[in-house]
Amino acid sequence: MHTEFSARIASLGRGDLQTEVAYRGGLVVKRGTPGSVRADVVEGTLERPIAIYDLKTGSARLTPTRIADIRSHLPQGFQDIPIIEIRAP
Amino acid sequence: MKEREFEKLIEAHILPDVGEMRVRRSLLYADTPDGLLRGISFDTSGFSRDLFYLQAFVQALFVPVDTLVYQVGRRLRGLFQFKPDGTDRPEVMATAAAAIIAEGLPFLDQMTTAAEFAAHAYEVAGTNTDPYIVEMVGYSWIIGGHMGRGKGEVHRLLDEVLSPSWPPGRLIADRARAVETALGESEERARDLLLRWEAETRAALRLEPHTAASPAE
Repeated sequence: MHTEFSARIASLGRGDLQTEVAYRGGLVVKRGTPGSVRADVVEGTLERPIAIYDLKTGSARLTPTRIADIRSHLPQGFQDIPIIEIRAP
Repeated sequence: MKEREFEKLIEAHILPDVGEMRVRRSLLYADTPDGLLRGISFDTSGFSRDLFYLQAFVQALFVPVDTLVYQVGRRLRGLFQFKPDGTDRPEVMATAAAAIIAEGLPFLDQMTTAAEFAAHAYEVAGTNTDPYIVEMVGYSWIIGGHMGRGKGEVHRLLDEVLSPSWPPGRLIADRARAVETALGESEERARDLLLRWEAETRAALRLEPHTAASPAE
């Protein structure tokens, strides 16, 4: 499901949508970096995101704790951007 | 895919076509005598171990961090995916090599010295207000011998860019003040401080001190 999701995002050909972006302490870092958070989709540029989309499947939900965690790691000045749950069909 | 597997694949399928670069695990890179790390990282997807991205980036190593930083970078176009049985690895790596040559290396070639990095980083990143990028640019000017510009960017970082309400900014501010103090003593003190931080970053990233790379290494 997630792989197909990545392929669909890529097929849109939109340079302002990136999948699987990791942030830590305001830095854009390599995915899997200890202490980082992964944004499933970032809209905008990596350094200047305008929205983040979190892909959820099954009973999983985007929680306030998860939203706060993501926000705490975004670059300076982008802590208030929308963080939106998207659900796989 | 495991990083060691990437290392072998990069050595076999990419390295012969990219000139004087090196491989460390899933990182294809060239560093410069003045402290830049210019890299293409092969980043496995968290969605599927057969899927990976190619991320080109340039990082000023004299800003002390313990991770690769993509702030001045570009993800190469395309989604690279192996079949689960691995039978198409040469073909996928050939596609990756083509993307690196067409898009990745031209990106890296914009910034081959600290001064070039300082001159282009804001344009590449599309912002001159990201604290980490401003920090890298300021110190790059200093390393590149442009002390006036370096001092100007360090002052701008402290006085205009950093927000006191952003917690990670405290560490950046502490470093910038240390550089400012060192600059007040002498240019050499400031350079020594930055070279010490570069050594710390290299150690954290397990990069050896810079030497001229050769394809045979």
